[in-house]
This record gives sequence, C-alpha cells and structure tokens, in this order.
Amino acid sequence: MSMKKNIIQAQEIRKSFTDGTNVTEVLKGVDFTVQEGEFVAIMGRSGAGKSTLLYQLSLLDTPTSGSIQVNNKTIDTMSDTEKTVFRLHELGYVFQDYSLLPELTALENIMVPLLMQGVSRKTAEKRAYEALESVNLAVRAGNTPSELSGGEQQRVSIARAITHKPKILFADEPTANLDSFSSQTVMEIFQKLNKEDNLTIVMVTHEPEYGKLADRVVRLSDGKVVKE
Amino acid sequence: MKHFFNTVSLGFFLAVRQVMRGSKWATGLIVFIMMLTFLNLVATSGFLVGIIEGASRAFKEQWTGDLMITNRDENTYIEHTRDIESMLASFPEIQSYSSRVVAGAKIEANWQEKRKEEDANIVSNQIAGINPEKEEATTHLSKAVVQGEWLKEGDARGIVIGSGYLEEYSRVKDLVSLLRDIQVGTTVRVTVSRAKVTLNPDQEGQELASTIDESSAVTQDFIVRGIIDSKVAFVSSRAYILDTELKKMLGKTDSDVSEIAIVMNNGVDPYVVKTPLINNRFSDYAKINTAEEGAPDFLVSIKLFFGIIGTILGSVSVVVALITIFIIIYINALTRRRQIGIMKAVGVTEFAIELSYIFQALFYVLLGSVLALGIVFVLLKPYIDAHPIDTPFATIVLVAEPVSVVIKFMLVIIVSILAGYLPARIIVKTNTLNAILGRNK
Repeated sequence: MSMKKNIIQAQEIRKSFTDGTNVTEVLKGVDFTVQEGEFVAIMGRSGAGKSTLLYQLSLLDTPTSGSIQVNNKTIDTMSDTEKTVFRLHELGYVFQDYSLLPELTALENIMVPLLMQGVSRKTAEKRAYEALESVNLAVRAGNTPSELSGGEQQRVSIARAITHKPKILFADEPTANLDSFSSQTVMEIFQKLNKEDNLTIVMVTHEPEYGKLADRVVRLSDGKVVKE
Repeated sequence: MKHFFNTVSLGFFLAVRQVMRGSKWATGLIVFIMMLTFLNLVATSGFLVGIIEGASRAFKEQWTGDLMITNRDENTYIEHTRDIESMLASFPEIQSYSSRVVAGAKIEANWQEKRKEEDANIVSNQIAGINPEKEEATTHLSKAVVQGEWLKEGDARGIVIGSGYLEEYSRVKDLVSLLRDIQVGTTVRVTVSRAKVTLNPDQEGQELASTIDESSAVTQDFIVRGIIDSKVAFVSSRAYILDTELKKMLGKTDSDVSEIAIVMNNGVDPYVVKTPLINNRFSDYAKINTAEEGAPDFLVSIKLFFGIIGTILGSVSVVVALITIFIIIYINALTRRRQIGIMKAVGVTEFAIELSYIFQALFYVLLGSVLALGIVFVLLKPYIDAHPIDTPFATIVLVAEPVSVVIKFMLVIIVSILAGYLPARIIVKTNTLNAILGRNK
C-alpha cells in the first residue's frame, strides 16, 4: 500500500469569540490531519465546533492560535489577498445553503472562479457546462438560482466548487436543507468525485448515514476531537 | 498585466449581470436620480450664466453689434469717419453697420403750460442721430418699440424716445425727474449745444447735457413717433432722430460720427475687420472693440460674480452627485454583503468585486447623464432659445457650451468612479466569513 501524503495538517487549533467581556472558546486545541484523496466527515452535536473547524481549515477564518498547513503551504502567515488567491486555485466550497449568486445563471455561477483564474470566456463556458453535465444539470444551465429547486442549487454549487479542479473540497452540511432523494444524489456525486477523481473531501455533517460514506469520521465534542 | 485584465473583465461581467438582472424599477429610479443630478449640474449654472449671457447678447444685438468703433476720449467724434466707412464698405464679411452721431440733449414737453419752474417737464440725456434703415438693419431696434413706430427715412420731424426718459416706464421715478405725459404724437422740444462735448458709453447723459452752453443752444421741436423700451439701459436712455437733423442742429458739416456698430455675417470673426482697421492705423483715431471687449464694466463684474456663484453651485452639485452615488452604491453593496462574502470565498479578489461596483456606478451615471444631455440639448435648450425667459433686467437663456458640458461630464465620471469605489471598499473589506454568515463584526 502506497504512503499517501498529508494534504491538511492542523496542530493545536484554538478559536475563541469575544462578546464584550465574555470569551467563548469554541475550538480547544484541535489536532487534525487529512491525507490526499481522503474523504473525511466531521461530526458532532450542534455547537461542538464542526463548522468552526471547517472554516479554519478552509481559510475562511483565522484561528486564534495553532498552525495549519494546506497542500504543503503554511497559511498562518498569509495575507487576505494571498488566502483569496489560494482558495481560488486550491480549494472548493459547498455551503449548507448553496450560496449561489442570485443574478447569475447556473452556468455563469460556475464560470466565476474560472474567469477569475483567467480562463477565456468561451473556455469557461465550455468547462462550466461540462461541470453541470457531471452533476446531471446541463439542462438547467440558463436558469437563475430562484428557478432551481434546493437539490438542483446544491448540485450547481458542487459544480462551481469542482470546475476549477481544486485539491480539496470543503462541504459544510451540504445535505442539511435537502430532501432525502436530493441528499442521496449529492452524496453520490461526492463519492464519485472522491473515488474517480481522487478529490480530497472534508465534509461537516450531522447525519450518521452520510458520515458512514466517508473514509473516516472525526467526532468533535465541546471543541475537542473525541474520536476518529 | 494579464491578471489585471482578468480582474477588469470579471468585474465587468458581474456588473453587467447585476444591472441587467437586478430590479428594473430600482435601476430605473437610480438612473432617474442620476439624470436629475446631472441636469442640476448643467442647467442650474447654465441658467445662471444665461442671465448674463442674455444681457450680453442683448447688449450686442441692440447696441454694439459684433464690433463697435467709438470716438477716442480726447475727441468728440471719430476722426476720418469717411475713410473708415469706405473701408467697412469693402468687407463682404460685414452684414450691416450703423453710424451714430451722439450728443447731450434736453428734452422738454408741455412747455406751453409751464407757469413756474416747478412745472417744468424736462429731462436731460443723450440723443442719437441715426439713419433709421441702417440702424434697423444693424440692431433691429424697431422690435423694441413699445408704442408707435420706428423712425422712417426722411422723417425730419420725428423722434423716438427711450423709456429711460419717461416717468411712466421708470422704476426709480421717485428718485429722478423724468418726462411726464408723453404719448405718440406729443410734441417735444429738443435743445442741443453746439459746444464741444466728449461722449463715452459709460457717461451719464445728464452730466453731458448739463454742460450745454445756453448761448450756443439750438432748439427744435419734434413729434414723438414711438417709444422704445429695451433691457439695454444705453438704448432706453437715448432719444433717436435722423442723423441729418442732429447734424444740422449741431452745426456739423463734416461726416464724422460718434460711434459705428458693425454686424458681421453669421459666424464670421469680427477680427476679420478689426485687424485690418488697426493695421491701417484707424485705432489712432478711434477705439475699436468687439462686443466682448466693449462690454461695460458692470456687465463684466456681474459676469465674474455669476461665474463664481456658478462654480460654487456647480461644486455643490458635484458633491451632491458624489454623495448620491455613494449612498446608492453603499446600499446596493450592503444588501449584497453576503454575496460579496461568497464571491470572496470562491476566490474572486476584492478588486474585482470593487470594480463591479465601479462599473455599476459608471453605468448609472453614464445613462443618467446621457438622458440629461438629451433633455438639455434636444428639449430644454431649443425651447428656451425659442422662448427666452423674460425678466425685467434681462432675457434669460440657457447656456450649455459643449466644452463646459464635456468637462462637467468628465468630472461626474471621475466622481462616480470614486463614489462607486469607496462604499464598495467599505463592504468588501468585511471579513469573508462574517459577510457569508451575516455577522455584524
């Protein structure tokens, strides 16, 4: 069995929020590692710090202390602009509420990261269309988010997250707002991306049946990893 | 450089879609506000300058023409008038000119009924001897006749009196003594002196006439043919008779005159005539000024004052435009705070997002300004030109010089870039996660 490299290494991650004089520590020294091509599910009760950990790992937030390396890059010292550029090239996101831009069609939403990367308009359209085909939604390319169902929006969101070929896909409770059929579809897409494209996936979920589909489940409780 | 163009291209891509797929009503309202803002910027100062422009235009049309030749201060008349007129006649670029002999005069009415000095119905001012046809061709003064008619060729007994002589038309009748009970057909007695009198447009007629030496006074009766009322005070404060009659009264046997107003063919620069006149040394015998150069001091001062006021109002309008665009873009960006966070999350740079708002601001301003320009140049200006606003002191027109409008347009574009960038910057610099989660930190 070949030795896989660690694509995410987080050490002693702490995150606290201050509200006036009250300081709430959400993450209390989390050590976390993900190997390249691994599908990891982060689970735990509400308030355990699952989403907060995901935000730190995915560069959307900055931990109060601790060190994070993603794809061999130390992100602790990166500026906001450097983080944005890093996210553009290395990471993909799927949010709980889809987070599509309402004024853009499904195709245009997917084109945005490609255009930012400097891909030509024509090529971006072609690749975005292919991404839509990969989630079986090519027929809805010209529809705006308000014209799509929740499941369809989430599939567009996945297409946007993978079209620029990221190294890691972060998903924050991607099935939370979906019916069981749509949830099943989303999870099938995740599994396909992981198995066929060797895409590393880190997913926060509170649904055990979907956690089981991951290679590994990391359980958080009260801001600490309690079980892997 | 490639990254910069990618950023600009994506900013434009996002801006176009946000405008096209946003609320049509909101877009329409914003463009309407921008239109009013630019209209305010152009029309307010345009009307302000138009007040003076109206006065200057009237001054030029009814008094100086495009070019005016007047006597030098040390002389009563323009020397070598005949030579000057011969040269003027050789210019095909001249549409018409009118030579005027001007003198100080006393005009008296109802002298038959005068029992004591207090009953005197008399006033002193300027009298101009003109050729009615040439004057009409040059200044169209008949249009300013409010009672009766303009002088006719050969009407040696006729006089047209300016409203500045008459109590009926005066706004300061309690302060100065003016002629009473003057109607068309009234006989008035005109007294001029053969004494040498220096005449300048700036001088008051009363002062001139007061120098009349009674021993050399010449008196002649005239019948009032018409009353002329103009917003140009110099026109209204004169009486007009035939030049031949005034010359007779003054005992003038030469052909020298006091002033010559010249109108050029449409669009011809008056320097086409002025320069050769100066080159022929006629400036040694007369003052040769274009209408602008010869404008009275008060008009120049008011023009300067209104220019300052116009600049202040224009600056206020620009600040208002800046604030308006700022608020619109700020609210626009604020309502899309979460989407801005999402864009940053998927790797769109802050500059690309800011550019999308700058492009939106430019779109609103460009469309609003173009509509405002359409209103100004297609509707407002042609209408005001055809129907100038009549006020007691001037006929107001709308001045919208293309160069000035272009400068204002460029200024508004620069302002819109700034006003689009600043609010977008405020929102865009919000922490990405806070923007996505709607946290106000």
